[in-house]
Amino acid sequence: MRGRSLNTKIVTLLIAALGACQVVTLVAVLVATHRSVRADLERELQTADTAFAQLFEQRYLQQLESVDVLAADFGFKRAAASGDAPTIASALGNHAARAEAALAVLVDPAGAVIAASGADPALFDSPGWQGLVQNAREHDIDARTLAVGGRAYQLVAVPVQAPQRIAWLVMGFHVDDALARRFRDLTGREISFVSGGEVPAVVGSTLPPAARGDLPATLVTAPVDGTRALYLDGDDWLTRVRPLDARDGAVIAVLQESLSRALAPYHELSLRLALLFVVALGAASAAGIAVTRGITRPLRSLMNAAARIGEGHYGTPIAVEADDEVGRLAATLDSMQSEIGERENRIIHQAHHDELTGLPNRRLAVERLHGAIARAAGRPFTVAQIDLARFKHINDTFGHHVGDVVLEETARRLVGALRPGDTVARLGGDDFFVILEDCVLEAGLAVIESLRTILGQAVSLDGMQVSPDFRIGIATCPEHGDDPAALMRRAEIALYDAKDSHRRTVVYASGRDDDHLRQLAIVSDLPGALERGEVSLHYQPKISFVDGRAHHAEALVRWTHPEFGFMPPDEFIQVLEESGNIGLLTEWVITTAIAQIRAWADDGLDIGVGINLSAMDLLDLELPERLVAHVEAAGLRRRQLILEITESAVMRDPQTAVDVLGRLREAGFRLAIDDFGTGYSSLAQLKRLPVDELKIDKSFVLNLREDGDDATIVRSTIDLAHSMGLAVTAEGVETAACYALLQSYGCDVAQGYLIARPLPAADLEAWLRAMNARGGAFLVRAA
Amino acid sequence: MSHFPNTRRVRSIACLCAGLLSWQFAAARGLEVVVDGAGDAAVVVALYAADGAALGVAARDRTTHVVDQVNKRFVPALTAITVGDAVSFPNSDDIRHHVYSFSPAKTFELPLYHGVPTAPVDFDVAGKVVLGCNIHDSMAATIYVLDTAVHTLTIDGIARFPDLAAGDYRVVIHHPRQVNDDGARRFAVHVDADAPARLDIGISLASPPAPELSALEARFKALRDEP
Repeated sequence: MRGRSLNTKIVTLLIAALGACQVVTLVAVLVATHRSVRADLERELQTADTAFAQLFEQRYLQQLESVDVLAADFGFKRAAASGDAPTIASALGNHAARAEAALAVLVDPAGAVIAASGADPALFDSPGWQGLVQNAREHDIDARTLAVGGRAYQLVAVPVQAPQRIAWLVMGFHVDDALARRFRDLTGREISFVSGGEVPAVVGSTLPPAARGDLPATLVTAPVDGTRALYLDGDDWLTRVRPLDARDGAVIAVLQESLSRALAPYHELSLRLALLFVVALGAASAAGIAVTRGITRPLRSLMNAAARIGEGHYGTPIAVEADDEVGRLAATLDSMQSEIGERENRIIHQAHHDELTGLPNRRLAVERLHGAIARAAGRPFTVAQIDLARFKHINDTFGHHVGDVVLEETARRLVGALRPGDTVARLGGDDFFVILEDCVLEAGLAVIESLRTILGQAVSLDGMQVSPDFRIGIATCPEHGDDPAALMRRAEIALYDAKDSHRRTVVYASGRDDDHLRQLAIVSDLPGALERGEVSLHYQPKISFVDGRAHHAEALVRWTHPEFGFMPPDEFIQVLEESGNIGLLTEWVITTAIAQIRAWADDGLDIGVGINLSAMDLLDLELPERLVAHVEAAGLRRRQLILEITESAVMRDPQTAVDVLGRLREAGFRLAIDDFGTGYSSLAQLKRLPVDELKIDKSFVLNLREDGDDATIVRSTIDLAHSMGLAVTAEGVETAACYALLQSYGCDVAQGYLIARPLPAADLEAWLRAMNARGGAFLVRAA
Repeated sequence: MSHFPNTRRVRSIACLCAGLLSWQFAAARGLEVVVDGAGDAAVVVALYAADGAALGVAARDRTTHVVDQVNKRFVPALTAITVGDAVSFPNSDDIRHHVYSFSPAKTFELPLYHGVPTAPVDFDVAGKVVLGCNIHDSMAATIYVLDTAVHTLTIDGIARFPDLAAGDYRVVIHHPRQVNDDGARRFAVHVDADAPARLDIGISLASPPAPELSALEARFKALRDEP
């Protein structure tokens, strides 16, 4: 369509431009022709007018001469002198016939008519006649044109000498159609004679009858001075008017030429010109179409070629036979096509291969795995994910260059060691993946072991020896999955298990994937669980040995998952910490606990709450401010909140922990080291910790007996803490004996099943009210 | 030219003769008519009785005058004769002439001829006779046929009529170009018995026609040039 549109555009433009030119030319030619013809005609008419005037005068002269000859005829003189009117009249008639005159009159020297022949008597009463006679008497002769009774005459008067002037002979000649025709033959123009007066009449004319009929009225309404066009009977007539006698203008001659007649030859010219233009237009259009086709046909094949390239077909050569721009464009497009093809192959290769080792990448590995699964059709085969152990260490120690060399060497060794049909891929980083088709688990394990031997050989590099070590996770199809994603995931899980268990090769164990999925579920389900109330806080009261009262309770998270049921806090807290999602839970615990303290305070129960912060929480530098904001918003005292941090959490990054704890303490919160005794903290570190309290881990308290090792540890820990100004809380107090022993050691606070299990808020409230009812102090029941 | 003596010389001689005669008859009864305004042109002066009656017609003999044709001209161009006189028209040219007159007083024709015609032409009716030649349009002459016998043709403007009886007379002046209706003017005069009478007359003549009429074309051009 685009090609046709271009065609149409060019041809349309061409035709429009040419047509416009031609129309303009034609109009200009016609206008110029018309003007020129009219100007020529005006000139010709003027010339004809002049010629006519001379001819008309000439005619007067000829008439004068012929009449003069007649007047000199002796016989005529004798007749004229005879005085006999009939004789004279007959002589006049005879002479008029000789001179081909219409009338002849003899006038005596006084001006009276002696005799007449062929003359209308009305003629002698006309002013023109009087003027004729008068002028003849004065000038001897006279000549003029007169109209009378609808006819016009050219009159000449000459004297009759015998030998003195005895009379004037006047002869009149018709001014009529015949005369007009004669002048038309001489001048080549239409001639009309029009008698003047109030009602002009055409007395003679060569015009067509209709035009002749229109002439008098037109002359009256449009007087002609010089040359002008008159519209007569549907045609324009260029007209000049000449009075035949300047003295009274009784009769005028009208010289005319039809414009349309003058233009007639040019009409044919115009037609031919128009025909020529049409032919030229047609030829130009055909040429235009041919030329634009010549342009657009290769363009269309280029367009098709471009479309083919767009669809990804690069194989068809572009054949445009032209040595012009289009040909060069075709050649360019052709080379572009092959270059694009090469580039696309390269990109496709890059998209499926690892740049460093040239091995298939994860994407291609997945595709190969698809193929392998399809080919296996249920028969078992083995896959393995191989991880270069301590690769980070190699990179850090020897540099990335060495790391890359080791990876390349490993790739080479893998390819060299495996069968040609097997797939070796690099999944990324230091992870390789192999597909061992038609290879049951046992055979696969054997292959893997031989691989390990080959891979484990030292890599020499610039005199250095790098001995790589590998962890390998193995999975088999279809036992461990019959789709690529499952197989790869399970091989990876086996690999992680190998890493975690410090074993070199681990075959995927059924169910491991479920643990993995459960951990994923913990992370993904937590926000919803918080919203839906699946997570709640339980509170385990702590009893002061001093007064037996419960000043605080430790808040403990409980999550009842709709699918997994009760979730052990250690499990999901660890997963959340490892996945970096613990902050969400901590925030929820803080707001829930503070709201609870507020609620209890409103109900008249004065009890603080201990909240567990994870190691991750300690890295949250904004935590102190947030805590302050929450507490103040709730209108609580800061000492009502005890923040408990495990010793192991502190030991993960002691410096940051000391900073954050210092700021929390400055903010007025009470801090406690949880699970003390399990984190290997030194005394020096302990000394630096800005805490108020140590919570001795329940592992030391559960089996506390007076003569046991634990007793020594607990007692010395209590003494140590007290010596450092710290309060001591013992966790895991389950027996009255234990309670008594701790009391004897001077422990400050006890927490454990002996006192109460962790209780829902409502239950704790009931528990507290029951205790308060008993006097407010905890009473140890004998075991 | 030999046939046409110098006009001025002839006129001087005539004047001298007239002067002598005038002196001779100065004491006698007579009439001297002095015509002024004719210039060199000859003028016919005729004398009638006061009542217009002719003088001396009855008692006179028939006289034959001559109007010659010399060099395509009538000579003389003006002639005065008395009724009953005859005029001979000899042709002195070596070409033929065709003398004619369409004047009412005498219409005649002398068809083409050489030499002297056989008979003179009689003029029996008074009047003005204009002569022409049918061959040569430019030839023209006038003969006044007078019904009185006392008349003269002056060439010097003075006409003397001696030996007149005392009484009243009528003087008529004729000239073809005289400006009035018929070319004649009449004057009354009294002649005493003992003293000569003198009559002074002023006349005016139309300018003579061009010796030859210009060509018709020239006249037509002139006509057209007339505003």
